[in-house]
Amino acid sequence: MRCGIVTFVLFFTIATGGELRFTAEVDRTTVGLGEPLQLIVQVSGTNVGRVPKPQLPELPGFDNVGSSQSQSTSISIVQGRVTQEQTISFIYTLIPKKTGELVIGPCRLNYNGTEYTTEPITVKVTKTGTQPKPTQPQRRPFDIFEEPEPTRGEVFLDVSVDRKTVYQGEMVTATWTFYTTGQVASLNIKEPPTLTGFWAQEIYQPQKLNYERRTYRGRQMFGAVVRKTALFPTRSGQLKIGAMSLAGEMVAPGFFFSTAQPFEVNSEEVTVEVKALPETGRPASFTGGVGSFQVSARVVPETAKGGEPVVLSLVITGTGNLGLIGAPTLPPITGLKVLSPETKDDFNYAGGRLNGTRRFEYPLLPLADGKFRIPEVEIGFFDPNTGSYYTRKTPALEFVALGVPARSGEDYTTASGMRVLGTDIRHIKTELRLTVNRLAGCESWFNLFYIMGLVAMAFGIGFGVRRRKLQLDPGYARRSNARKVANRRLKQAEKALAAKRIADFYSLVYQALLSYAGDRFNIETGALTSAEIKDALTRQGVDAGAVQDLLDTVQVCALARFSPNMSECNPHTVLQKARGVVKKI
Amino acid sequence: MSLVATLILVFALPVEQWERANKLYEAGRFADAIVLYDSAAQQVAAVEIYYNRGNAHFKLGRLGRALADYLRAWALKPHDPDITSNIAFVRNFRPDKNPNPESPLTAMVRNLLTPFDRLTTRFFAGLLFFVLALCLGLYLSTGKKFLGYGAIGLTVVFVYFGVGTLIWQGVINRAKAVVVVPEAILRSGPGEEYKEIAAVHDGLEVKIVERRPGFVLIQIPGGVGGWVEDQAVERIFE
Repeated sequence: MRCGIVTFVLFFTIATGGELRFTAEVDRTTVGLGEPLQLIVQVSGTNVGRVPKPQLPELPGFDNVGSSQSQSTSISIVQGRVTQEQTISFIYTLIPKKTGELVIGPCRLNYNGTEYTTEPITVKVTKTGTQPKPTQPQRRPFDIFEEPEPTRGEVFLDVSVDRKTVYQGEMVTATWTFYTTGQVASLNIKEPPTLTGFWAQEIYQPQKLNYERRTYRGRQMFGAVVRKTALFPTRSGQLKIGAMSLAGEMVAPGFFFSTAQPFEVNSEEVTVEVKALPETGRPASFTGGVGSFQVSARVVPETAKGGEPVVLSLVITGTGNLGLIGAPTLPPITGLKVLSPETKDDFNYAGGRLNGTRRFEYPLLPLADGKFRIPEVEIGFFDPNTGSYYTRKTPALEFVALGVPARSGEDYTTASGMRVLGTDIRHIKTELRLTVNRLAGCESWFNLFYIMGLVAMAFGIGFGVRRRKLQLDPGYARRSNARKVANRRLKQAEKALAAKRIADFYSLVYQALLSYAGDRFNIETGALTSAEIKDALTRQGVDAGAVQDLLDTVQVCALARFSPNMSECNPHTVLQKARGVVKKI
Repeated sequence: MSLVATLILVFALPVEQWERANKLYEAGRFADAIVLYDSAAQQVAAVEIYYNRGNAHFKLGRLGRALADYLRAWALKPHDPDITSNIAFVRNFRPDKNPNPESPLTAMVRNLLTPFDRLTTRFFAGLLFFVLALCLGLYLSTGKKFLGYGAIGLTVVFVYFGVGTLIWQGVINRAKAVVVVPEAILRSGPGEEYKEIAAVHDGLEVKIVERRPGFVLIQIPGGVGGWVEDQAVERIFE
């Protein structure tokens, strides 16, 4: 297993030769799940200024969340001969997605017709966030002939941070400054600082030290910044910025020739208090962004033909821990398949802060023809200045997919193997007959049904009530039917008269009048005398004249029934008088 | 509009206009076809006219107007497979999807209760009420038991058609409208100076709540409401 080694070459180091060297290293070989580690791919040589970007292997166990590139030149002077070597470092930030031993395959580089490959690297990913101390970096000796000895000169390595208490994810700038009282012949980093718990980005790494006269510890010295690094804490607690070690040679003037005195100087450790991000108020859309950001989005192309995917770009712009912002989760969109996003970064350090953009490019695969609307996407951030969360939204976007073919896979191919090639509306109707509802003009008349129904029901209820009363009240029943029965009998009498059945005629008229009077007032007239009938009818309020007519007619009929020859009455007159009595009473 | 379409518009009968419009549609002259379909639709409310005009609107990318015509055709012939298919297609095609689409169970119950179109359902409901009331009246006046049993049976059938009528009244609602512009901005009041609340898009079915000069208050699926220019929406059922 190859240990991760990072060598930072400043200047005045000895070149190792004119050949191109291609190496890959990681900053640590054991890392916690979700913690970032850096894969450093370096190309070194005397003329590597135009080498292409190396080709990374497949990294199924990692998320490649960002990359950066740096270049350094070292110049060596050995016995008056000057040698220059360039080193280009491609630094990739990887976050492991699973635990276990993950292998980063060989990286490849094609340059001038030659293919260079690196050794595979094995990284152990643990569940916990324990980070082992990085292994000792390779040492690049100042001189190939002798080991350096500790310096006895006045040299110091000071480290300073711009803030000692920050939120998780908030930027801390660490600056290492080298101070000396003499003339330094060469200087290089012997051991870089341990930065466990930080995501580090180099801000300033000079190719040539720029010495200035400064006051340090009460004395005038020459000071030069040797390294400035942006540090973003990835966890809370007390995090240590480890000591950096420099080794070099000081020029010691002699009588005839100057000699080189080796020295080594270390910085002190610095502790940074990292506050955890508050739980309260944390939006669901928070993906780790700490700083000041804006978001935008666009979809390209706006019309996709032939089932080609479109690309939705979500761009986060601003100042903060851009490299630690995770991709937001898109809401499901009917008819669209959202593929894993690709991350592209463009960082700079204008104003001493990490600025730039992080772009998430989501390939969107339309599953069918249609006009698709990508809703607003919300991303949550934390503002360390206010100590609170805020959200930003992208605008909703639209695109149209046309001519989407069926794709291989269960979603598009039926069990019988038939392939669906596309969808469209059904064709127009071309039948000659127009389907018109004949009821269309009569709708207002439909209410008549309800009116007629209600009327019928009202009549039914009325008749029903009467029928019930007839059943329960015999007097009412007799009174109701009295006139009808009397008229029927008088009609029978008329028929008897026409048939010359005189006795029957008088008998029918007699019965008609007496039963009518009885039914009309619910009295039994058959057993009453004329005087009693007169009294009963008078008590009922019947007109006296009508009562007398009734009694006279009944008497005439009674005489005629039993002595038909003695009667002098005209039967027609009797019948007419009887009808008049029925009408009057 | 071409000269041919103008002449046909002036002189032709609805059927002839419809046939000529179909030919224009087949020739890809969708805008001319719509002119003739419009004229025919003003003279007779026919399923085929609405359906074909909806197709022409769709081909021109007017999702809202297409959906409105399909829904008008569907109200006249609710179980036509072409109409129901195109309605589903446009609803899936439009950019704003309904957050609360009708569940399959609700759609099945609705289909069972509305086997006929709205007018037929309403006609049968009225006729059945009349026969039912007559039967009940006769039963009350005569006391014949078979009339009573008949009234009970007719009541069951009447309830079936009565519920169907109520469902149709909910479906054929004059407040229903559809967005007919690519994007309509909902505002908090009837004017350009009011705050923007939401943006809705062509083809979204909405409900008109109130009308003011130049503006209508609409309610979109999900309950949010806002004022939009009245030309941004088209009422489906007049």
